[in-house]
Amino acid sequence: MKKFKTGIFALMLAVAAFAITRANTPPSEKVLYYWFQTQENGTVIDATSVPPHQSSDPFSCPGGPTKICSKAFTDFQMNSPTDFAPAGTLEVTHKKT
Amino acid sequence: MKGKLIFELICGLLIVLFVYTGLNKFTDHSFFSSQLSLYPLLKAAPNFFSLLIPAAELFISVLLFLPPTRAMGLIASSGILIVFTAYLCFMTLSGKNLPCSCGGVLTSMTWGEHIVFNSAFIMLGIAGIFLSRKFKAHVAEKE
Repeated sequence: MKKFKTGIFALMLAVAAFAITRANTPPSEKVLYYWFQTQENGTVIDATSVPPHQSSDPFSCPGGPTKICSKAFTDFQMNSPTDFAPAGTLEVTHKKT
Repeated sequence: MKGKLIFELICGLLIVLFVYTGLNKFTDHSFFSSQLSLYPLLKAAPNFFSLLIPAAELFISVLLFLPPTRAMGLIASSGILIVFTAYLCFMTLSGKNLPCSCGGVLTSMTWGEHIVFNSAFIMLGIAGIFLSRKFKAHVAEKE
């Protein structure tokens, strides 16, 4: 049993960290959106590939004055193989902090 | 004695990493699968990879947990981390702005931060491999 001590401790730590992360994830974050970066005035920049489809903002908003950084939509449309525009409804607007 | 402690610590840290990320990917399977479907190379079979990757991570944790298979677990963990990091480097160089499907809080890391994080664990894994070989040689010398 002694030789499994480190492993058991590590397992307990990992499961505890997992449980804490799960408990701190609000259910609303589970909704998946299509994320687009924006210009500082809030105009959406079309993506050159399929936009990230996830619950949280994949774009890091660096520090600075409060300006719009990214927006999340319920859908996207492909205008050309290198031009993907938002579609559906705007659900989230993230600003630089 | 000090080397043994460091070896135990390395195995412990790798178990924490793989169990934590593996459990997150399994429990958030649909989310993980949807992210993989956006990735080049993996989008052909996102469902298969979204099960294979966490299964491999948990299997490596088992190898690291059992003392007789720890050396194998260290090689496997370094190998899988090298593959992940190579893929991250490819993604960064390709300029594609895709999310990190790493599981749990690691998802909030940027690509660059994730490469540094993985590299640190690769180095730990390699150090563990050297230590396990050293112990093996030491035992053989005694015999």
